[in-house]
Amino acid sequence: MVFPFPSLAWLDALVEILNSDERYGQVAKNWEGDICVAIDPDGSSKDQVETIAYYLDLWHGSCRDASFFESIPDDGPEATFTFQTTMGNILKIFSGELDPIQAMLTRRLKVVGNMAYLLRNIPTVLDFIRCCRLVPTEPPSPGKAA
Amino acid sequence: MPQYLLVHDVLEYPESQDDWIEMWRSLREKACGQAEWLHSFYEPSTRKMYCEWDAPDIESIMACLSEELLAIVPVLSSSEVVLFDAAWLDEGNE
Repeated sequence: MVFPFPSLAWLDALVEILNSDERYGQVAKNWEGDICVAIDPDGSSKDQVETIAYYLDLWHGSCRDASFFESIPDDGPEATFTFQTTMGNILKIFSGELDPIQAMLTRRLKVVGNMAYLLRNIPTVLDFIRCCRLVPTEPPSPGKAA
Repeated sequence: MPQYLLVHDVLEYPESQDDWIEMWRSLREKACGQAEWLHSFYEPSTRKMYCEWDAPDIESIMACLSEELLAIVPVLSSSEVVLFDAAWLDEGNE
């Protein structure tokens, strides 16, 4: 089964992987902090006109809660870490075309939150991305500008 | 040009993404004379950084590292090293 990205079904598939992947459970066993991934439109998806967001409550190697926002409400989501990027860049990160560390160093992936905690837990961040890449993903149809 | 491998302890981490990028950028700007910083590997389990340089001597590398930077990532060791590229073995099969 392939899950369209972005969608709630894709998020559900990711949560299932996070909560069953032994390696993630081990690598992220000390991680404490919810994250919000905000994805801006850039023409990479013909259907996206607003910033969308994924919220995941990640705690000691599991995902306790997750939400998908087709537009970001005024009152949230707030999280310990917010990652902001474009649809094109998140798709490149998922495909392996863009290295997540390189994306952060070039601000193609903006980070709001305690960078020191993030850097001390780089293996958790990279393994989270690995789990994202495990989701069978149907990327969006690109818009005319892409 | 001789190559060097420097091992650093990472004692502190920047608090924000901007601070982190600025730290790397300032090193990059200083390391573009005789000594050239090629790349670095970070070992999370030991909080060590392994940095590879092209430089005429170790002194020209140390000249690129500010006191402020060395307070955060002190040098544990420096060695002149020789590159063995795995891709060279492919060339022998052509």
